[in-house]
Amino acid sequence: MKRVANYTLKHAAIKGIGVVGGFGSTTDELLTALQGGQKPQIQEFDKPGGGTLKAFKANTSGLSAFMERRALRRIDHFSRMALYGAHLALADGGIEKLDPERTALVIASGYGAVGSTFTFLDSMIDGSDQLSSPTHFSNSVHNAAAAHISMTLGIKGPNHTITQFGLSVGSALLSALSLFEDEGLDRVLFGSVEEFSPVYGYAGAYAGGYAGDYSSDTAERETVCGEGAAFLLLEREAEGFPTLSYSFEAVEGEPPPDSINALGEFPTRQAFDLAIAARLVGEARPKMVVGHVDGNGGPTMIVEMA
Amino acid sequence: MDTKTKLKQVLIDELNLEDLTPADIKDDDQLFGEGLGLDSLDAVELVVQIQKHFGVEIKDMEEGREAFASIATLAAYIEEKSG
Repeated sequence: MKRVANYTLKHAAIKGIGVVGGFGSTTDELLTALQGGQKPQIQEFDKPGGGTLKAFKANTSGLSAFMERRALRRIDHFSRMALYGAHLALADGGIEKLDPERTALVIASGYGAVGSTFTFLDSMIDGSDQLSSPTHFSNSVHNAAAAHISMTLGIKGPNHTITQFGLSVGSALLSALSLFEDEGLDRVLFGSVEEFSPVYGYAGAYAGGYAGDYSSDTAERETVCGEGAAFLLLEREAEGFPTLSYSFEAVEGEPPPDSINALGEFPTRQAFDLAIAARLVGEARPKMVVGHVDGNGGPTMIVEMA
Repeated sequence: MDTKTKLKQVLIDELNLEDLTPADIKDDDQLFGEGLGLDSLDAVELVVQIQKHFGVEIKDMEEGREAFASIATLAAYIEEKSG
């Protein structure tokens, strides 16, 4: 792999990892699912025009271990996935209490809370603005998840939500690492979240070729829509923890053997790759490279972990 | 289903009071503050949901304040306006 341009290079230690998706809510379950050893939770939904599509749905019931159910009542599925991922990352890092002023939050989402967005739009169509739920509206904005997390965890540092479709994770990670240039910050909670909705699945089936047939034969398996959240608790330096080095580079040639290459427009997939690479490096694998390429095949981000 | 029971179910479903059942809510329970513990954002949501489920529009804030005192007063208001 030859680097032909190098725009920036930034480092951070990964102190904690939190993942939630159709596979479950641990990196063990994610690894097992990726290796084909566990069938993720699949939900069927009606496809307009007939037939059904399948999707990997995340179960956030474990969030009740961190929060009272009543406190979740205004929080939609999109933000619950993000909250769960954030709590899991903190728990994995052994952090019981954050310093509110010295912690930042950066979230990537290419499509935002599509469930609440389409529910709100449907209510506008069906009953005009007079019958539109203010709760659905407040949950429909892209930064709703970041708001719920910062209020729940008491984070008072910088709070950013970055949306750039397939480039969301790369852009958000660059922003997250740049925040460490502020000496007033100790930690950045970085994450990505994407939600499945029937509209998203319908569009994916027609535009993206998601057939939704999860065959037990991996050779026959087709692309299935999914959803989930992946969070990394980043610190400037943390001895004994994996360190990521980020560069926004253009590269040519074949990637190295120990590499993960995320293709496609599902941004959180890229964050899952970062989480898996961090997990493997944390288990004494010497080095991993996560390369992300945009939809046109041009490289956008290279993350080396050691 | 009578208005009070339907109203309790609407509250649970639309305000996501997942920890409650209609039987847990007494007719004279206060909706806001003590009682069900609803707040001002719930009040806005309730105005929308009452129009959606019962076809009753609450426009007068003074009337609404009295109607929102409890399940019983709100059910009486809905029955009066929809009758």
